[in-house]
Amino acid sequence: MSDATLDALIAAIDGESAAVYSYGLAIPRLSGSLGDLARGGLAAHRLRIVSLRQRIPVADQPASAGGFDVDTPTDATQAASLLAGVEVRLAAVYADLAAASTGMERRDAVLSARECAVRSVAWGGEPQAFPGR
Amino acid sequence: MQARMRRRTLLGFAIVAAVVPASIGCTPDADPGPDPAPTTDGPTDDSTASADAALRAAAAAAENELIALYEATITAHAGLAASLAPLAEQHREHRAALEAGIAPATGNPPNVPTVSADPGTAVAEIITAERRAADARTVDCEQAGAEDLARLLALIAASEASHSEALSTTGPSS
Repeated sequence: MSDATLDALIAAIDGESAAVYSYGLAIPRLSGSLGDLARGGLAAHRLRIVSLRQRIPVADQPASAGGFDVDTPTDATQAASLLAGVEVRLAAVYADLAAASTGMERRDAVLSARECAVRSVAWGGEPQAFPGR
Repeated sequence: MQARMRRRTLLGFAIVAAVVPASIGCTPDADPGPDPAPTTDGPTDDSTASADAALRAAAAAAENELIALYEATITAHAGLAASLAPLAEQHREHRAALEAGIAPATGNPPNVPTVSADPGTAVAEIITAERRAADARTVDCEQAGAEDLARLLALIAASEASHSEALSTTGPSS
């Protein structure tokens, strides 16, 4: 694996970890169908971390990150806004991973970028021509 | 919680939960990356460069068709202009980024598409076209040689997928 690919994978893991952390802050502020949407998003991001880590040799595994610099949302509007921002930034990280990957791994990265951009809009974010850029 | 425990079991010692006091990966400037509209592709051999130029031209032509569909729909249904015009503008940005570094298209403009008289159906047809475009750009991205082009196509695919979502829902805050 090239250094560029490894760096892009680690950036994606960091971004996914930030997403998991942010969903954890947001979920207590969301109820009903929004709570369901958030729990689905949280589960998807956790699974992505697992599959990203499976591509990295044990010796190169990054430590789990924590303590992200995120303001805790105090209501549903702030929670949705936090998640819209995290998702759209993660879409751009996955576009970088697509550039640093080939074949099926590149395809997976594009599909992840698409999912993040869709979730960002589902949380009320505006669609962007180049999501997260 | 279960997923987290499973991950730790799988990876064992490799994962130690580290508490990092500073911000990591959660700020927009953590990974500025290259501009999404590259002026040149990276150094590759001639056949790859030529294949990439063809990919750019074909994707730009597809953007043209989407733009024509949006414009025809706005003409037919003025009440949809507020929601459709910003998305059409994003397709113009896609087209400009794709055409950077290649010769401008010389072919005829796309035919004016037929638009349904029913606004709901007309929007549904745009949603279908956006989904197809996102899938086509995903395939294009797999075939791209230069990393800049792969990144651009990934961003466009993500943008077009998000357009479908925006047109399908009104969002949680409304």
